[in-house]
Amino acid sequence: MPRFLQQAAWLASALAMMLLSSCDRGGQEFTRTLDFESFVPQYNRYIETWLRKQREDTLKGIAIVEEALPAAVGEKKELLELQAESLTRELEKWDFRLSLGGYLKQGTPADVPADLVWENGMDEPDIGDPAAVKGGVFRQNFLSLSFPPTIRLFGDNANNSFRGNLYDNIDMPLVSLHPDTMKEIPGIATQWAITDDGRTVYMRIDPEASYSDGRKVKASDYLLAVYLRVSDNIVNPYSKQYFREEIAQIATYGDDLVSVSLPEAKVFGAAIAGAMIPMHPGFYSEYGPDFNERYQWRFPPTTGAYEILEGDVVKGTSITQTRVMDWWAKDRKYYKNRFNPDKIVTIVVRDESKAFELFRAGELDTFIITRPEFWYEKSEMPPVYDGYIERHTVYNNYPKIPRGFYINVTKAPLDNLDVRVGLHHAINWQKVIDVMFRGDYQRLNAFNEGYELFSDPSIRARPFSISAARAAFRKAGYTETGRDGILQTPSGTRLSVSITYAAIPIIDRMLAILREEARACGLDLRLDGLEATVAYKKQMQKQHEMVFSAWNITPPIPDFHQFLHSTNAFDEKGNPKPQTNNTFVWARPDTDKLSQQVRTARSPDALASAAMALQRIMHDEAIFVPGYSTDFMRIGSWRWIRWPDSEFTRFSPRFVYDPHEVHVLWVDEEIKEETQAARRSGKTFPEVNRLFADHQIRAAETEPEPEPAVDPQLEAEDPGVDEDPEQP
Amino acid sequence: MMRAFGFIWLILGALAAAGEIFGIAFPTARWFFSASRLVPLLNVEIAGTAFPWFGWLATAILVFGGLAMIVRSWTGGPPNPMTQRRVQRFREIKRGYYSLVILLGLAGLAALDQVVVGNRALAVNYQGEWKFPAFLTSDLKNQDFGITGERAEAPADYRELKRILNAKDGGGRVIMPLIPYEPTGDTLPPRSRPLIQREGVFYEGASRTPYSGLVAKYHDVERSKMHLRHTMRNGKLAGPFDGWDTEDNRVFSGEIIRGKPVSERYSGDTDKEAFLALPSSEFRAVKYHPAPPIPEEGHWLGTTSSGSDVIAYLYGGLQVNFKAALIYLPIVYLIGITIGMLMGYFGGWFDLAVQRIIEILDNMPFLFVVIIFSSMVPERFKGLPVILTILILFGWMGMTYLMRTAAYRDKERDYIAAARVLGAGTPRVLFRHLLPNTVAILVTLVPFTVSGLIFSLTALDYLGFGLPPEYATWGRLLNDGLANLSAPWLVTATFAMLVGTLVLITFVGEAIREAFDPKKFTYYR
Repeated sequence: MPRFLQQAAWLASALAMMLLSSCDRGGQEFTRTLDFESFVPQYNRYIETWLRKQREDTLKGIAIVEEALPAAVGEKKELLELQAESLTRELEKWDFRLSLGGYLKQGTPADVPADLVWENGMDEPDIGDPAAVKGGVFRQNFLSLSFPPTIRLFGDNANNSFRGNLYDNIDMPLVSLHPDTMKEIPGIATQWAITDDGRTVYMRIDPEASYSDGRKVKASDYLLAVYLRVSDNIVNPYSKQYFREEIAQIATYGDDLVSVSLPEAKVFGAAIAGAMIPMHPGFYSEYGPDFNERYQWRFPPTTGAYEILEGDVVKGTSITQTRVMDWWAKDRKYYKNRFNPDKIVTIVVRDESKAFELFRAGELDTFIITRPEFWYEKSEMPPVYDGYIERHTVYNNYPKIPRGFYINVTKAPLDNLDVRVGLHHAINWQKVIDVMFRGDYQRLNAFNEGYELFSDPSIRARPFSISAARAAFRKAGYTETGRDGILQTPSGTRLSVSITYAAIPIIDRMLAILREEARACGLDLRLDGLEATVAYKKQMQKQHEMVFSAWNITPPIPDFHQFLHSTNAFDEKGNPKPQTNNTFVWARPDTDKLSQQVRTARSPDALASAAMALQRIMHDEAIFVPGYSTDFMRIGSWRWIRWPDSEFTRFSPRFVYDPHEVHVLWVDEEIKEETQAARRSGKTFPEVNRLFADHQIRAAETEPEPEPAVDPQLEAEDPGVDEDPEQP
Repeated sequence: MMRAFGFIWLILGALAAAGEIFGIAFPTARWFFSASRLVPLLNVEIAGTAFPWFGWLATAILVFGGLAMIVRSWTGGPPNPMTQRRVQRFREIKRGYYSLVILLGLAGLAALDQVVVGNRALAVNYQGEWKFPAFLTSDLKNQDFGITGERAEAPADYRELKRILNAKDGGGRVIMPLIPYEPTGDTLPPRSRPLIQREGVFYEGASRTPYSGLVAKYHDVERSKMHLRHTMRNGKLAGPFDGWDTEDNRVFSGEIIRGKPVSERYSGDTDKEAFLALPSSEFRAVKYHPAPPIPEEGHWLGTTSSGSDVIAYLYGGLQVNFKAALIYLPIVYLIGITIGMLMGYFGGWFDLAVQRIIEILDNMPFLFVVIIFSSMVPERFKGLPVILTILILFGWMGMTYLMRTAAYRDKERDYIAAARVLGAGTPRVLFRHLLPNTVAILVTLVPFTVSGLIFSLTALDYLGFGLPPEYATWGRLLNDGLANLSAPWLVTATFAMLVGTLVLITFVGEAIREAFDPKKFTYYR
C-alpha cells in the first residue's frame, strides 16, 4: 500500500511539472518587428555611458600611475612612464569619441566637410582573365566534410567554415583591398575620403548598387547592420565588443553617403572602415528573439554575385549557389572577369578519400592536393597521365601562419636565455619536414614572417645543431650527463621541458621525431599531448611550459600587442594573466612601446620599423621556436576548369591563400564536352603539370625568400588553437 | 615444470641484480630497474638520487621466489596424479600444444630484446678494442669512435659507424642486431632504391614495366640529402624537377616537357654548371615514408608513415603485449579470485554489496572513463602503468562470479567442513583447500584473458587513447595502415601478426579447456 501511494505521488508531481512548464511557455510573448527606431537612441545612450565609464577608469588609472611614479626607479619607472603615456593616449581616444556625438547618427548632406579629398582606387590592374566566359556549373565538396549547421550570416554557429563561400568571398564591402597590390579598391562605394586626422572615412555609395531582389542599397542599411549584430536579440559577444571598441561612429548623410569613424587612425583605415556589409531591411522584418531559429535556413538578398534560390538548400546533402544574372557590378573594373560559373554546387562527402575518388571520377571539378601524399601518390593516376586532370602548383605571398613552439618565459628552466637558445638549436624541424612532408614545406623563420612590407626577411630560424645546442646548454650550467644521456646541472637538475599540444596523430608523430632529436642534444622533451580543448585551456591558463600552436592571422597588418604587451602578461597581483594570447607571458617596456607603435602607426614605414624591431627582439630572446610553413598551393582540376593566364592575373592573385576564394576560374563547356567524349572513346591528351612560381621568384630576388601560406588541411587539424573570430 | 620456472626466475633475478650493480644491460632483466627509474611512483628520492625500490623488490621476489620453487620441487613430494594426467592430455591435443610451443618461442624471442632488434651495436671492434654498446646502461657518443663534427656529442650512430668502418679496410668491425632499427625513437630519413637502366629506360628492381614516380640523385643517400629530384614517366624524365645545394637550400627548379627542360630557374651562389657537376649518386627511386619493402636496405616489410621499420615496430608491439600480459594477469587474477571466493564463502551482506559494486563498474562506459583519465593524468605519469591500472580496474569482475559460484558450491562439501573442524582459518581454507579444487575453471580462462587484453590495448591505441608514442603498439600501426591504404604492407603485416597471435592463444585456451574437462569422452544419446 505505501508503495502504491509513493508511485501515485511521483506521477502526480511529474504531471504537475509538465503542465506548469507548458503553461509557462504559452504565456511568454514577444514582438517580432524590426524595432530599429527605438533602438538608435537607446544604443547611443548605452555607448555614451560606457565611454564615460571608460574615461573615468582611465583617469583613475592615470592618478594611480602618477602617484606611484615619483617613488619608482629603474625598469619599473620606465614601465610606469610607458603606462602613463598609453593611458594618456587612451584618454584622448575617449575624448575624441565623446566629441563625436551619437554612435549611430543620421545627418544631412550639409554636415559633410567640404574640403575632403576623394579617392576612387581605379588605377589598379584588373583581376582575372578577360577571356573568362560566364556559364556552366562548378562542383565542389564541403572542405569540413559536413553540412554547415546554419546559413545565417551571424548568430549561433554562423562562424562555420562554409561561411566564407556563402558571404565573406561573395559580399561586396564598401571598400576592399586589391588582392595583388594591397591597395584600396572600390566595392559598393564609388569613392571615399579620409579626414585629416585619419579617423573618419566618408564613402559614397554607388547609385546602381542594389540587392539581388532589385532594391537599391541605402546608407541607412549600414546602421541597420549594426543594430542586427549588437541587439539583445542575439548572443554575439565578439561583434558586440567589436562595434563598441573598434568603431567610434557610423553616420549617414542622405541616402548615398555613409561615414565610419575609427577610434584611432590606422594604416589601411579606409579598408578597415569600409569592411561593412549592408543589410536588407525587408528581409529582416521578422527580426526578434527567435532570430537564430527563424532565420536558420534563410539566405538574405545579397549585393554580391551569388544568391541561394528557394529550394537550393538540401539539408545534409548540398547547397547550390546561383549567379545573380543582372548583377549591378558585373561590368565594374575589378569584378567583371570574376564570378563566372552560373551555379556553384557544394555537396557533402563524409570522408576525404571518398571525396578524392569522386574527383577522380569527374564528379568534383577541383581538388586541393597540396599535401604530399595527395601530390606524390594519390594524384599519380590515369586521369592525370591521360591529361584529363591538370595539376597546378601556385606560389603566393600570403603571410605565414606563426606555427611553432610558444615558450612560457616564467617557467624554469625556460626563464634562462641560454636554455631557450639551446632549445632552438635542439628542435629539428627540418627532419620533420623531410620525413613527414617530403621536404616540400619550408622552415618558418620568424614570428609574423611573410608580411610583404612589415616583416624582416633577414631573420633566419636557428638551425638544428647538436654542438650549438650543447654549447648553449653548457653555458646555462648543464654541464654533466645523466645516466639516460640527458644533461643535468652539478646539483642534479635535469634539462627537461614539457611541450603541450593537441594530441592528434599527425602532431603526435611530429613531436615524436622532435623528441628523439632533442635527446641527441641532451634535452628531455616531455610530450604533453592533451585533448584539444584541454590543451587550449592549459595554454590559456598559462600553465604550459611550451605549447605547440598556430594563430590565425589576417593580412595586411601584423599584430604584436595581443602576444607581447605586458597588460596581457600579468594581472594586478603579478600572476600570469589567464585568457589572453600572450602565451609567452612576456613583459618588457621596450616591447610594450613597440607593440603600441604597431597598433597606432599611421604610416607604413613607422609600422614596418616597429614590427621589424619586435621580430628582431623575439628572435634574439628566442621565445618562439618557428615551425614549418608552405608558400604554395597545389590544385588538381579537370580540363574544362580554366584558370586565368592574363597580363593581370596568372592563375591567382598574389595575396590569395586559396585560389578558389577570388572566384577567377571559369567552366568551358566546349572543352567539357570534348573531354567527356575523349574519356568515352579513350582518346588522351598530353599530361599537364603547371607551375606558377612568379611570386616565388619575386620573393627569391629579395634575398632569403620570404614566402607564405599554409595547407588548409593541416590547419583544420589544429582544432582549438586557432583564433578565428567572426569578421564583422 | 615448477623446477624449470624456479630456475628461470632465479636467473632473471640474478641477472637483474648483477646488471644493476655492474652497469650491464641484460636483455629483459634490465627492465625491472629501468621501469623503476622511468615511472615516478616506482622510485623514491633519497639524498638527491632516485632509489629504484621497485627494481630491488622485483629482484628479491624473483630470486627468493625462484629459490622457493626449486626447493619445493624437491621437498614437495610426488606431483599430483590429476595434474599429470591433465598435462598429458594437453600434450596429446597437438593443435593447442604446438600453438603453445610457438607462443613460448615468440616470448623467448621477445625476451632477447636488444639482441634481436635495436639500433645499438652488439659489439664494436674499434682500434683493436672490443666494446659492447647494446649491453651498456648509458650511451656511447660518436666521438668515442672518432666521428667528429656536428654530431660528435650525440649518442653514437652505429649504422653510420658500420658504413664508415666498412668503407675503409681494417678500420674495425661492427656487429649489429638482426634488425638494426629501434621500434620507436629511431626515425629514418626517407628511403630510396637503386634503379636499373636498360636501353635508356629506367626499371625498378626486377620489375618489367618501366618506372614511374619520383627519382633523385643524392649528395648522401643514407641521410637522404638530395641533389636533384625529378619526376619519371615510363622510365624517362618528365615533369617538374628541383635541385638542392649541399646546404639543403632549394636553388634549382623547372620542368621537363617532352625530354627538354623548359622554365629553368637557378638561384644558387655558384654557377649552374658547377652545381650540376657536384658529386652525387646515380638516379634512385625515391621512397618516402611509408616506404614499401626494400630488401636491399633490410626493410623486409617496409617502413611506417613515421619512419620506423615495420618489423622492428611489430617486434616492439609484441614486447609491449607480453609485458602487459605478465603484469596484468597476476594482478587481475589475484583480485578476482580473492574477491570471488570471499563473496561465495561469506555470502550474506558482503556478497550483496560486492555484487552491487560490480554491477556499477560493469555499467560504466569504459571508453569514456579511459578518455577522461587520459586527459587528467599528468604527462609524466603517462604510459603502460596507467593504462594497465585502468584495464585492471575494469577487468577483475569477469571471474568473480565464476569463483563465487564455485565457492558457494564447495563450501558445503565435506572436505571444507573437515578443514574447518580441524581449526583452519579462513585464509587457509580458501587458499589451501578451496582454490586448488576450483582452479580448473580459472586455468581455462587465462588464455582468453590474454587475448582480451591484447585486443583492448590494440583497440585503445587504434582510437588514440592508449599508450604514448614512445611505445610501439599494433593498434597505432593498424591505424596508420588504414589511413594509408595505398601502403598495404602496413595493414597486412599488422593484421597478420595480431590475428596470428590471437588465434594461437585461442588454440591454447581450447586445448586447456579440453584437457581440464573431467569427462574425457562425452556421448549424447
